[in-house]
Amino acid sequence: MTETIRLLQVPLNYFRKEPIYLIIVLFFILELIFPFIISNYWILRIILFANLFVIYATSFDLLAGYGGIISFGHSLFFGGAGYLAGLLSLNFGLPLIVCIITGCLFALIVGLFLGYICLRLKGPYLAVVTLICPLVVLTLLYISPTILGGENGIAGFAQLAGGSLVKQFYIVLIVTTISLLIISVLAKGNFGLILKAIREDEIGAEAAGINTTKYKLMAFIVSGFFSGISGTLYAHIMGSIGPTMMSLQYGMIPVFMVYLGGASSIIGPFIGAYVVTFLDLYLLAFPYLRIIIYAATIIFVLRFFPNGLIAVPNEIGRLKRWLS
Amino acid sequence: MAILKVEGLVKKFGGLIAVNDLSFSVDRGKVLGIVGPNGSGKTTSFNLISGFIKPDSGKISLNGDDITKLRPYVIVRKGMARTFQIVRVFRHLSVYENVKAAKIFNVDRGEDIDEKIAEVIHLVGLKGKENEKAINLPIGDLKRLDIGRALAAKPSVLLLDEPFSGLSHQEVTEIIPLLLDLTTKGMAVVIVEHVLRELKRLAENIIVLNFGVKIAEGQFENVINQRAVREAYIGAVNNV
Repeated sequence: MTETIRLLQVPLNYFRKEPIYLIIVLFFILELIFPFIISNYWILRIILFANLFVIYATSFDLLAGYGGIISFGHSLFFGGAGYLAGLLSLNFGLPLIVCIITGCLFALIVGLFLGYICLRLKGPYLAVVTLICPLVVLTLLYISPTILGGENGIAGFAQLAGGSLVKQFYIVLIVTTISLLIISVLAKGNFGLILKAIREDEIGAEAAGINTTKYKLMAFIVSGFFSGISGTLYAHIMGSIGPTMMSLQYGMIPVFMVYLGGASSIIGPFIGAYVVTFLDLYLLAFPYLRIIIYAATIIFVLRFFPNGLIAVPNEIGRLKRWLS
Repeated sequence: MAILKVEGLVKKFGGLIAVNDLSFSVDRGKVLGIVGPNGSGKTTSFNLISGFIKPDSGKISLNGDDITKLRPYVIVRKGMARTFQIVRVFRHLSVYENVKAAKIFNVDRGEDIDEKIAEVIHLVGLKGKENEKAINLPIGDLKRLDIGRALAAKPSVLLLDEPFSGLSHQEVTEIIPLLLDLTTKGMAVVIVEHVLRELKRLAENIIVLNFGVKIAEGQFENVINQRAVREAYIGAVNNV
């Protein structure tokens, strides 16, 4: 119990040292006025989804960026929570808030399960296992058309805020802001430091008195829970859910967002989520070139800015020297 | 009363007996040296004592508590910390963060963690380098940081695995008073070290291992002149 209290302690100097909290508050205030100044329905909808992916990406950053546990199976949390929330809503007509909370708790349990499996795995072994797990579930989805809707997924369940875009936008904005604050407090506090220590050297971390098993599991649980939040909200905004949400594509989305924006920083995945969401949706107009432009952008950024877009200001000088 | 007691420790790796029936004890405020040629089982003994490897048989007690089967982090929290032959600091974290990672769970109620971290950094001579990333530190400072991180856990027993390897004579000369100062505060120190000349300045008693077996134990001068020890460790003895 004392250990848990220590983890949640956030000395005041963090708020002075870490501009992230100020950025989150400014983000919230700025986006509050978006529905009044943005008249384009699609732009507002893209921002809404970008905010959802901010939660998804930052939750992944906690696990991969801070903890060094690079999982390709994050779609398990995102899709799993979305599926459960949708099924509860469709089959039992439960209130939306109950469906969302249950979905998130389910993602938390899936996080515990996946974390337990991955405890002793590292590098390529960890990657393979986290890649296989969602594929197994994906196969189960395809062969269960009566319960899970098969390849068509499930549709027709309750939409968030009755489908009102503006209301959905504000709900997602509030949830994103609260999630970002909680994840930032965890990442910038003792919990984040412990995860970074484990990432740097697990044996060294044990020698420093850190229970590495416990904190790796906690990273999976917390990351799973917040991914579950984004997954359930995504499902209830769409009013439908399909196997794609459990696919490799959705497992790779947070990986791209985090490493494009800059890992282990919170603000990096935030930037990455916006860039990838806008890029992805704008490129829908170029169906053949889409994937090429998408891939080229990511390769370019990672080639010249290996620490992500967040490090661009620091690396401009290095790039100039390289070009000359 | 011995603060650390090792009784009949045995560890086999397949057909190889790495540590065979090792027993010793250390009292509060004392320094014990463990010497022996390469492959004699010194580091394996440290790994067994600190919980990184489980022994096949034997018992390890810390402050009277059996710690034989405990995990390394539990042993650290019970009061025994260690350093490594090849330093295992958190390379992309700052000096401050390295020490803090070990200090988080070792702060008493009412204590200011930042103050305690500053004390440790000052003690190991890294004051002014708090914000320096470990990866940018020279080997001497890395060794200091490794010791600092171990000290941050407030240990009553400190295990040092070749703390002087890779250090200049000047750097060794600077670290020795720090270690001696710790013993005056009641800390027991166990050192695995190849540099016997420096060990002589620290340890009153040593034990000598050869092929996993303790072949001698006692006061430095008496032990080092024993025939069996000379035969096992002849090259290094010439350097004393």
